[in-house]
Amino acid sequence: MLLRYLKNNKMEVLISVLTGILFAVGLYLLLHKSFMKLIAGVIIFGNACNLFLLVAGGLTRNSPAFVSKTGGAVPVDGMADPVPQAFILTAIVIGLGVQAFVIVLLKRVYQTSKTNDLDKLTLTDEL
Amino acid sequence: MQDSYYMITPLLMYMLGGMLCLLFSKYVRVQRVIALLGSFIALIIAGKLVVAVDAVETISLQIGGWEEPFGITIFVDRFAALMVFITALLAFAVSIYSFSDNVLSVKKKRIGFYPSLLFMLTGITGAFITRDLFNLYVWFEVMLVSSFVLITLGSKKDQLQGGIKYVVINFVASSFLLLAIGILYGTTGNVNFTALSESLRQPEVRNITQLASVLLLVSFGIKAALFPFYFWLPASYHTPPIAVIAIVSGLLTKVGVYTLIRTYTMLFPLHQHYDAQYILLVVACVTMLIGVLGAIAQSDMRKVLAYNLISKIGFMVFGLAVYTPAALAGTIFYMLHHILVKTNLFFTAGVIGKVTGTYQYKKMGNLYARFPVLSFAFLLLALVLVGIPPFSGFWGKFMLAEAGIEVEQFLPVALMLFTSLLTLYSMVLIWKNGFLPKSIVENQQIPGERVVMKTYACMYLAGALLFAFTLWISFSPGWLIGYTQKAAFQLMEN
Repeated sequence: MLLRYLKNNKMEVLISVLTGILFAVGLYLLLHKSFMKLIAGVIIFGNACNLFLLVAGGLTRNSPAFVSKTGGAVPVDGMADPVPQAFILTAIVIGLGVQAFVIVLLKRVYQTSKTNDLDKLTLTDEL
Repeated sequence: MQDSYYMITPLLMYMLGGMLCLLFSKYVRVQRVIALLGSFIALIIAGKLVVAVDAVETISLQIGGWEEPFGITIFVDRFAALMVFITALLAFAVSIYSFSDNVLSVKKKRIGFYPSLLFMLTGITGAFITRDLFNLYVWFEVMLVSSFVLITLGSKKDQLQGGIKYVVINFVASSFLLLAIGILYGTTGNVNFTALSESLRQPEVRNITQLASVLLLVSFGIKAALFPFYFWLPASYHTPPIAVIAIVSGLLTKVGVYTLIRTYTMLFPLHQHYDAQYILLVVACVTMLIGVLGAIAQSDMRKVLAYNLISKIGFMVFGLAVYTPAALAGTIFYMLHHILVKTNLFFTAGVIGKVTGTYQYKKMGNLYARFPVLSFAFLLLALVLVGIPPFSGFWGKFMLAEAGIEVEQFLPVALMLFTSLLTLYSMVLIWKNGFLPKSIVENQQIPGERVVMKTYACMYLAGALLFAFTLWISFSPGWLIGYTQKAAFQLMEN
């Protein structure tokens, strides 16, 4: 049964695995102490979330959610769900803003603290 | 129809104010008037909203005219109305507080204090009144990105270092919220709260949506600074200018608590999800204790207050975990009381920091002899925070403790009272070291209270405004307690 599921839903399985790998990579990079890897981690983790939304909303092949040109009724049964796509679009835009902010912030931190090691940023944790 | 204008106007006021401030980005004097006026109008309208909601129970509005599960719904019940009002009150108080240039320098104001403040308030108000999970995520991001700017305003070394922790952990929290939305939409096809709460009652979707429940708990737990996730708060909250800390610490964590309450009354009602209830109870108890222990260990006044904030978050979540109408009413009351008093304490700490030049209370001393009014205000606020009768903290704690005893949660209630005692100890430490005379009497030439009052008139005024509200809910709590009880019943009805 599992094999048959794999055969019928190759794309879903592939993207799910890809999402998992991206999450693992993103989390590893987020926990790394280098600034550059933190930036990469933020970007990859955010993209993994977007892909997750896509898979969770259900993948549909080759049937975009378009209304017909003449304005007539369109069968909606096999149509791709546009809502997760709208979610992802919003999330990508927001993610872009956050990523830009993180990059600028880390640049400023590098300029003021003169270090490239997140573990050395302990100024605020001292008593 | 008029009622729905009351609901949307505070949000639009902040948004419009923020945009106008961006237009006048070179003219700080114009910006501060815009912020003051905008938040004043928002305050009046929010007051009308509170009264209007009391008459008609709930007000809702379909944005763009789309029907309920498809479009975005704006929805206000009594709880949301109270939160919108308190946000407007804080906005007004902070606008007064930061009005003068000697509180927050023109340079810092010019690089975007007012636009960020107003956009953050837009996000907070939006998060309170939305009825749509994805819309909640968007408002959260509006709030967070503006608060990133506020926290790192001025780009000092420690601000930037604290800012990294704040930004990254909040990014992860928002991602978790997004994952939960994905799961919930994938299984039920809804993101509207009302439609979700109906579809989540079906037992066949329960296994997969448990995962969403956990993700939401972690996401909102990080934002509310609950026990295992609170480390970002003391690392970042004491670094920005004091006007920023006051509003950020008053409101941002409470938004997390608010969404936790919404999630666990509507989406995953705790009387059906015992495991979540148990987790929340344990987390609340540990948060109370850890927070207050941290407060005792610190010597920076702002850090003491930040740790006390964490411990009080535990009180609020305890009320949610008990999950009776009385306990939820206690949580709402405690939340309002705590927003008022915590912001005011930071206001007072700001004045103290200005006149002494330090926030380390061990380096102060003998403040009481020089600034009697300021010291008296601090002492009273400390007592309100601890919850000494007849102040508002006592009423909130009393409601929570009574509700806890009713369902026989004796250990958490005992822990709560013990925590209050330790809070008193942490505040008395500040009082003893900072305000009472030390053995060596130094004779410094520091201006007397009158001069200080004149110089920092705005700070005193804003503090007095909030203190008036604290005194009101302390000495005639009947109206507010009645209102919160009705709000709690509304929450439990879903």
